[in-house]
Amino acid sequence: MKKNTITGTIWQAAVALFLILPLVVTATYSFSERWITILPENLTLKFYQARLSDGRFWAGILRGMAAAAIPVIATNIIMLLALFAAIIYFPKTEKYLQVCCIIPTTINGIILATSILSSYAGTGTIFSNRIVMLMCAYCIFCLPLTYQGIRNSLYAVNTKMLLEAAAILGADEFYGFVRIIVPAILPGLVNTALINFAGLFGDFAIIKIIAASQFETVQTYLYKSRNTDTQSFSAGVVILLLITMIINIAVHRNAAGNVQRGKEENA
Amino acid sequence: MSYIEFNEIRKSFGENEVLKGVSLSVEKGEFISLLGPSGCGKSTLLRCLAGLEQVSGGSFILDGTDITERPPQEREIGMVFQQYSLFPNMTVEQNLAFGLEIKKMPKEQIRTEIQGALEMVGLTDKRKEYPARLSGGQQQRVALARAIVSKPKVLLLDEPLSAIDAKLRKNLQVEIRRIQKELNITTIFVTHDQDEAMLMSDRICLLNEGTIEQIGNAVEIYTNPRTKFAASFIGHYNVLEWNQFSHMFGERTEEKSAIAIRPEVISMSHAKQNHENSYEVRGTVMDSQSVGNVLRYHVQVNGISLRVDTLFRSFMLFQNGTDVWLSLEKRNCLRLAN
Repeated sequence: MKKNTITGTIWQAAVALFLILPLVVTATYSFSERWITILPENLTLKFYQARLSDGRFWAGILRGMAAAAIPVIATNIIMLLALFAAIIYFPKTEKYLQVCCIIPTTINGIILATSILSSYAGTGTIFSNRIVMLMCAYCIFCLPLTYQGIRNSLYAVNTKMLLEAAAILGADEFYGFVRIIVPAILPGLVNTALINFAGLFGDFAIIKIIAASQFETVQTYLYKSRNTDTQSFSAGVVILLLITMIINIAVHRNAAGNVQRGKEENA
Repeated sequence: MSYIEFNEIRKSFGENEVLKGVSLSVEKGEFISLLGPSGCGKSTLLRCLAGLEQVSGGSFILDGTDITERPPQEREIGMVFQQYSLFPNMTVEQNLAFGLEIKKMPKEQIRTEIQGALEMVGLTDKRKEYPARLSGGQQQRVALARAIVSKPKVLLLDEPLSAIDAKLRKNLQVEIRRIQKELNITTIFVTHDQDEAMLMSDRICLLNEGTIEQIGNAVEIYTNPRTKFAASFIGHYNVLEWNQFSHMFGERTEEKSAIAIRPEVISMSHAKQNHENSYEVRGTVMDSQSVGNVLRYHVQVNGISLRVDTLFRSFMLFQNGTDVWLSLEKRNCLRLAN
């Protein structure tokens, strides 16, 4: 038993080292002026200074955030209303909704982006606009997780029963939904939204295929500058990593809050 | 006209007819229980009255007004659900204020009404708490306070105590009845627990397979069941077919209706009693169970098993396999409708 524990610990440490090593190397490289021997030489913050004072970098971050936030918000609103209607008014349609929402999980992101591009580029419709196309592609991309997150939250709070209680007290369904259900499922909703946001913010493949030339996010900007100044490029990667880590910490804090609330409700 | 009239209420879910023309009258201030086994339609009937289900036929008259087509919001009904249905994102106070705010009641009045309702259920110190921080019993009392705070014409209770442990349940039974009497509010209570129905109700409406089997007060229903179902559901009656009865007691009967005998009206002894106007038969004790302060014997008489309840007294115990004499007054044999 003890032997198993030791083996497990060694194995976990090896995997952790394997995963963390590239990050440590990237971070170390971003702090050094030269690294041609075993140890880096002349540690400095100048690459961070350069990166943080770069307007294109910040604009890219803001564009990346907008490109991630708009589809996430739109998908959440659409899915929330669709599931509300399905659960309350048309319960039989929920299984079809589920099938539709799960389909994107079976399609690879690059294939999805290429298919969308070939279907809508040059059609002369609003969807031929590359930014609109990108937003719509992102909406499809985050659909499965959004659907599952909202659906689980709606069932967890027993939406139908709460709306019935609200109706008896004089509230119509929509008022009850806005006043009771949405606040009750908000922690779950935020959790799913943050996971989707982190996924889309870190995307490079879809945006490169669909809108790299028209819409420069931080990912595409770093890609373009990868051969010019490698230390500065590494500093950019570390900054992006920190932003993604902050989002992840927010997700976990929110999730931990949900678990605590769940425990209290079950107590 | 009664305060609430159920007129030939029918309800079907697809091919399944759950309510088959239920008619019932409830008087103002009355506490009536809808009692029956799972699936008999009691909760459906309550939900139809609340407007949460559309009836397939029939009508509801409340205080002289036909409310059948009205949405739940306009029926002036308060309801307590089995799983409490408190709004998890609101405090106790906000839960109670929800309905009053929709009615656009002035804030000062809302505060007064909430205070009164919380005092009634004994939860004034919990007004700022969220439902998740309350116990099951406290949550149910908040649900009750929320239902009565808006002063509805009728209070509907849909198995409100079924998720609560036995001891607390007994306290809440008494508390609900006290509040109902204090407010003199017309109350319809759904339960599958006959003891609960008998303890709390002015009248009991016994439902079976979407129809009313019998209506009456606790004593009437317990002492005078009219059908086999009523006899077997209330009081664990021995229900004997006429030929079984003839075979057991050796008495020929012209009327070929089933006969119900309450287990506690049969007396058991080692020797024959020779009581007048009684049946006396010999049997063998096959089994016994202790049910609280009652000892329930299963006695075999001429190949037919009878339940006999006696008080748990140490000087009068019968072992399995003992031959005993059973004595039963003739007037305690109730003929049932077929």
